[in-house]
Amino acid sequence: MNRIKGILFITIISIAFISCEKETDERKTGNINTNPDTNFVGMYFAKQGTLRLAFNHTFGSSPLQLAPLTYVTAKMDTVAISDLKYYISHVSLTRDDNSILNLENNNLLDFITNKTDVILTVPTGKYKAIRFYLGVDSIKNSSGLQQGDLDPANGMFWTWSTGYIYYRLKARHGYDNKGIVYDIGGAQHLLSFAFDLSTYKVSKDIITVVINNNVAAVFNSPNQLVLDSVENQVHSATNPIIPVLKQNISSSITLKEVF
Amino acid sequence: MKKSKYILSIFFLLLLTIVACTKEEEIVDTIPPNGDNAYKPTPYILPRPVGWSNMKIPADNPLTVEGVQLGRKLFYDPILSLDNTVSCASCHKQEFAFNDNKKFSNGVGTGITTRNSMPLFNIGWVENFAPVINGRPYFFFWDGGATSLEAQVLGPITNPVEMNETLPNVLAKLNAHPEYPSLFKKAFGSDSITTKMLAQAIAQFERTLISSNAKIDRYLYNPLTQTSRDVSVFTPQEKRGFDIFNSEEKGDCFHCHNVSSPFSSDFQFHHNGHQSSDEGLMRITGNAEDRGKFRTPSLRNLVYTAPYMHDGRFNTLEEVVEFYNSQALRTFPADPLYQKHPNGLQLTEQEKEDLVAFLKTMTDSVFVTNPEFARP
Repeated sequence: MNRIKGILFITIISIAFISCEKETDERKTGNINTNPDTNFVGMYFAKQGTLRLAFNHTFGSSPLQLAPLTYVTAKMDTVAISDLKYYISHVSLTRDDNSILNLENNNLLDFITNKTDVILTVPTGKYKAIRFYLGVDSIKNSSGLQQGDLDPANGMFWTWSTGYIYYRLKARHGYDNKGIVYDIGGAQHLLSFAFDLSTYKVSKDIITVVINNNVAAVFNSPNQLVLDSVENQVHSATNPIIPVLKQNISSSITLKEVF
Repeated sequence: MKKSKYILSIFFLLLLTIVACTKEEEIVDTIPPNGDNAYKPTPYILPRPVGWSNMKIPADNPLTVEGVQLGRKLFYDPILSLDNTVSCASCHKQEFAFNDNKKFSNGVGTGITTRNSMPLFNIGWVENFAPVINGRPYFFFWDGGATSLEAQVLGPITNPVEMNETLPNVLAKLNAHPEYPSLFKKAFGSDSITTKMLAQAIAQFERTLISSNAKIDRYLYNPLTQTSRDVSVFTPQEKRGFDIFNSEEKGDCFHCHNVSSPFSSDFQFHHNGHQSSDEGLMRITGNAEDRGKFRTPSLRNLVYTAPYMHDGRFNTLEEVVEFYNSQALRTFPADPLYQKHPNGLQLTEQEKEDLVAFLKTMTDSVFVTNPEFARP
């Protein structure tokens, strides 16, 4: 009788252990790649790694510098840049099986303070494409108030028409230094960027994806702006010039390299 | 006996198994987000008048005694403005049902607003009923620009013609204040004050501003007779005004100002036949058809909230009634309802007086003197 009791006791204890261990075991097998695979394109994290999305700012082919340095646009206007800030959110990676990994980030990048990296933790896996948004998703944009990079005290927020300013470019142009403010926001103006990474083959713990942000394109491409004749004070989601600026901002952001 | 002990011990072991497996989760649940175990605010029980809906309160900002008291202190404190001269209460005075008696309100320095200050009562229910279009709430301000009461709070603080302050400055002043950090810690569990906590505290106080003691509230529910819609509470003249108000042919007021609800508003945006250059809702949506549309205001406490309309253009209720009687536009851009009365309402002098008498039944004198809402 006592022996049976003992066996039963041990059985119950081991059930307890097994049921507790199960989850941990799954986690373990997820993390340890016993068969390193070299047949991949894009990025390969052999174990949980770090993705550094680094934004590199230029004006044409030269590194972007702030005013008083003056640049010349395609329409021969002079511009001097004084502020550039924008939100990068919801980075997602496409795995080699076409499933999507969503990373729920919201980062405010600021050229002046050199806060130009988005650092993300990425699970083991092979990833062949990247996607992200310039702006803040519609739910975060209108529901309640947030903290951190989304704190309205960061100044990228409209208090009269609740919502984040997704993109801010401030500059001066012409001989009389006329002001340019492109404050763009509004759920309908979220911009999406997607880049194929399959021409790269990088396997490391920390992988850097360099995104180039060429501010010259905001004035030149595809729409060449004549700064004396376009709306240069954009302070709301309803400004009619926003579709034109969005096209140019879309062309200003490109994939540069992965290493 | 031995056997039952044995079964019990098996049962106990099984229980241990469950406890062991769920322990991790439980720990996560019991630590408040701020990591401070001493943080235990007292829930604030909001009175709910008979027949009223439960106020919709954001899950991340439950009312607490500490939060409401803090919000009240902030509401009356000019620290929120650039030069410490203007508080929320400067333009939202209790004696005027948390409105001021000015056409436009004075902000810091020479600042002056472009719209009439809005009264504050029962505003927590706006989030129950006001429109959400394509996922975007149109809740506060005359044009629906603010998507929540918390977001609304930031408007006057940062508006150059109101408090004209920046959020980083306000937070710096509050964080350096001798009292506020500890009050925020009691209310929100952290003495590092953020924009979100500031807005949440003021919103909590504003949600407690409930007005439910007007004569019309006894019409809606009469506690003596325990009946709803009890017209016996009205004088004969008020009853005549009530009938004009609710008549399709006469006043036709009830479509937008539904007085079978305590809020006397449909919470929607309409063009009321005014002539003004203000874009109204269009400023927010960018849609041309929204030009000149404004939120239907509540009619409650009208005797305290003069002057009237989004731009304070009318000084008396008589002028307002005459506007709807004979002056409002009857065609586009006025709301389509106005086309029903191409020649105006054609009310007699007696009918106009009766209508005003009825409007005055929405006066809540208890609300404007309630010490719980006064300067702390």
